[in-house]
Amino acid sequence: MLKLIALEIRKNKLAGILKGVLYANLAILAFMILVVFIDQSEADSTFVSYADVFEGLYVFVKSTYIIFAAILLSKLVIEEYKNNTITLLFMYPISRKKLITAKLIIVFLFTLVNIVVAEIVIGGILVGINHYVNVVPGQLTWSMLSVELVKVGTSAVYAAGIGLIPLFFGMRKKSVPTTIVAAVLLVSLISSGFDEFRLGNMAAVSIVLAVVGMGVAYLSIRKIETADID
Amino acid sequence: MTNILRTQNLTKTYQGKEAVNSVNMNIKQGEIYGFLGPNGAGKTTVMKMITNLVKPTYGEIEFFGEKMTERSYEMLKRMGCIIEYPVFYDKLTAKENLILHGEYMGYYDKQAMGEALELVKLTGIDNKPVKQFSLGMKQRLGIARAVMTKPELLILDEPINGLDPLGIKEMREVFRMLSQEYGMTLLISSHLLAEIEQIADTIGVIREGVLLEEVAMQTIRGGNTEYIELITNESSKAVYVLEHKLKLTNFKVMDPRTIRVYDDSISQRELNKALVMEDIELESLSKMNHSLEDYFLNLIGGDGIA
Repeated sequence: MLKLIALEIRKNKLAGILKGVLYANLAILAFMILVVFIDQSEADSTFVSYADVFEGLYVFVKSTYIIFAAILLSKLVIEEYKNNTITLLFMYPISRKKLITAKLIIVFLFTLVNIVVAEIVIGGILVGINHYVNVVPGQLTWSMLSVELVKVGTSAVYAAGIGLIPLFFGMRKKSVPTTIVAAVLLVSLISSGFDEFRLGNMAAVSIVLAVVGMGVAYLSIRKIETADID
Repeated sequence: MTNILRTQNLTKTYQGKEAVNSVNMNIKQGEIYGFLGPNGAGKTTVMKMITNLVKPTYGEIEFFGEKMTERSYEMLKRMGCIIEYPVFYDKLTAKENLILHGEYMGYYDKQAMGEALELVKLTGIDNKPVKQFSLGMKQRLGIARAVMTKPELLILDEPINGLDPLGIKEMREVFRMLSQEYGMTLLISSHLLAEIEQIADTIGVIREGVLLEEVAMQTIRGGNTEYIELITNESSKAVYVLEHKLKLTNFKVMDPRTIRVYDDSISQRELNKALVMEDIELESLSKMNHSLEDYFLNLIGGDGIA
């Protein structure tokens, strides 16, 4: 399986996507700096505590990487069907299940790892900056940190699961735009809401969507052995 | 010779319509099997079933005497294929594609790649992505890829599409060599008889999903395809001469004026002489060739094959 994953990465030149990841993270960082530290002239600041700052950050990062996941799904799965290279792939003496699983593992891990890294690194930078400018009031305690870390970890797992949902829509017509649009709609759904209430913040919703995502992944693998490739 | 591949009542239906209907194919080890049929006859569907891409609705495929199932992945190691159109990861170079192929096939002979490229005479492709290749080059690269792992069964779907006349000739040589020197079995499909009649050992003719005939080329070639046709108004007298003076038996009266002599023991000149001696007035006497093309045209009903 590791070998298949390595081959997929090589085949699709996925190293190149890391540049995109870097740019995305820089953009998120710039935006967060803008809204947290610069945009403080308004009477009531949006970010009154560290928890608020992190909350905002998480929404951004998750949205970004769920869309990234859709791009990866398009590259690894949808385009393989569109370009007909799937016929090539499925003529190899390797079970179709394994071939597709390798692809989905890449997408899942990519989303998971990037969310965790981005949230911790960008969060860390924001805390560091605040140390000097003291815009966000309050102290960051160890207990707060550990709570946040758990949150980062679990929500990243949910997001990675959710990131697989667009596959279901994209596979119906083997369409890249459909895959991406599904991801965008999904993102706007889970990050919609106002002030305190956000759909994606409700653990139940996240868990359900994550399970749906995994289910989609399972379905796409389950039927693959008997499907005709025309 | 043993069969390397055998299908039994192989059938595939799409929405109730039979794309492939009860095909019984027998491919012998070491031969070149020409799979002939007009476009849309079901050639590709049969090949896709053999390569496990499409699952049969009914019927069986046996490869090396072993029944193929949905999960017969190991068998695919022993095949090399181009189905429909040679596809590549076209942002990668030819070599990168071949290396990937080797990795997926579990075949790690580094030399094989160079040999295969040399075999199909694909040169000067160093760092170009496959995207920039012409169809002819892709076709060659596809053949190189299929051959690279030294498969026992080579399945090539319309491999000559997109090649220029010289290329076609070269590929024919390659196919013959693979068959004779490497002992590979080749299954080559085409909608053009001329493309495969020269190299095929057996030809299977498919039309509208039905395998009409599977016949060794030797049988057709040896099947007295040459004859002498004589046209005369005195055919009954001529028949008498043929039968009693020349002692020929292998001839046929086509109509009251036309007689075909299939016997090759007599030359045109001798026949002419004998008939003239008996004072039979001949309108014409000529050597005819019943071509393979006629044979297949007959079989397939004329449209779109030659």
